[in-house]
Amino acid sequence: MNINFEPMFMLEVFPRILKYVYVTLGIAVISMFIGLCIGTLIALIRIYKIKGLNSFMKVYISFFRGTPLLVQLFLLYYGLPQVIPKLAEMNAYTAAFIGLSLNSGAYMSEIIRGAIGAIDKGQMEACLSVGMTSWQGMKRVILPQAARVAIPALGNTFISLLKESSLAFTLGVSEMLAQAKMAAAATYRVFESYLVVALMYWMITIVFSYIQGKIEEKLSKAY
Amino acid sequence: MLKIKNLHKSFENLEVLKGIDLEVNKGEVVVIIGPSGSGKSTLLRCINHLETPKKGAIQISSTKVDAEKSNKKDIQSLRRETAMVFQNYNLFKNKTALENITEALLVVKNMTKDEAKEIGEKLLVQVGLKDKRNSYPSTLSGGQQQRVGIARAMALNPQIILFDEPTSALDPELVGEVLNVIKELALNNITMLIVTHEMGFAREVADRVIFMDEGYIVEQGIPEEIFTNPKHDRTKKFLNKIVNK
Repeated sequence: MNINFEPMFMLEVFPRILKYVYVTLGIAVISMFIGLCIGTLIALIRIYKIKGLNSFMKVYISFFRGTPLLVQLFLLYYGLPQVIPKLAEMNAYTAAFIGLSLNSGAYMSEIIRGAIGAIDKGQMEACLSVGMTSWQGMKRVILPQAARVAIPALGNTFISLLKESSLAFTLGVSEMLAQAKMAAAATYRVFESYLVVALMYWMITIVFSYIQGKIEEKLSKAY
Repeated sequence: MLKIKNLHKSFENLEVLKGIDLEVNKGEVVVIIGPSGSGKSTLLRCINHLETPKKGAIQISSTKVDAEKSNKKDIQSLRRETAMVFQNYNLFKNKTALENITEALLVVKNMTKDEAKEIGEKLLVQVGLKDKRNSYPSTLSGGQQQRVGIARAMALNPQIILFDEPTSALDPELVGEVLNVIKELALNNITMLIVTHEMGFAREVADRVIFMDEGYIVEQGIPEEIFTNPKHDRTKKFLNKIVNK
């Protein structure tokens, strides 16, 4: 049996793909941040049952969790500009940020809502009993405690985002996977090229899992 | 000082308070006793609107809140006139003992950090927990947590402190340390309304004892009278059960 595998070629492709790590990380970090803001906002809307918005958010969450991310990105980038011509100015990066933020926001809102729900009711009662407003109690007592509960699940969301950022490739964003594909096309060393990119995603998630573990350790020491 | 008029409260179809009238004078220690489910805790929790009453009025000093037309601002000021000590302590878990006490001073009373810290440290000394200032609640015993809870309530300098079964969740050997702190408060003329099952303590600390059953105040009087010579059958039955336990 003849095995046609050239490890040396991988070393050649590696620096080429490495240059685009920042695109992948950038998309993931920014989407995580925006998604976290969206998620917290939705969670609060749902907890305070703000009229009108509450039902709207339920539909929002249901839609973004019930349809594939790839379809959402296509709808946003290829579909919407046809309906709203002004959106044609949106570039692929922006579309990727928006799509991933909206999607991860939907998932994270449920994580945050669950975390807030897991905090003992007595904590808010104590806040109210000393004269704090419910928002003060939320901000100073409930959310910090909920953050601790939510961190493991949010860490997983971030790792998902890192991997899902590869879907930006389908919108034409030049990120790690796009570089691997180009290397594969140019040299016909398809296996090696994609293996390099796979290993790089793996490395990045290992690093972030490690950081996540450290954060959890630190948080559990606090109290 | 505290005036409650015709207070009603229902959970779903269950009427828990069926028209409570109660006045507490400044400096008075009033202890509420009664069987489980008689509405004692609910009454306490209605006073600071942790539970919303269905009907009736609550007045503390110049703040008067009518249940049927209460607004956020009134409720807020009612809560600022009162403080509560909970059965399960309910200390802020993400804050140290000292921070638990200073939190409301900073956020509600807008004190500076130094002012709040000074008050907090003084109160920690008073409840005997000076060396626990930087401990988180999870590292404190139940008795210690409850003493922080009492210090937190006192920090606000409220018109009245509401105690909701402050020793019910404690191991028996820790009850004493908490009761001692409360007794000391009583000596300092702090107005208190206490729900408790500790009859000996009630007898010792109360200026007035109230017996509640099935959503009504059945009878009230000085401890001597209630404990040795109760007028109502229900009071007698309840006290017999407790004493013979």
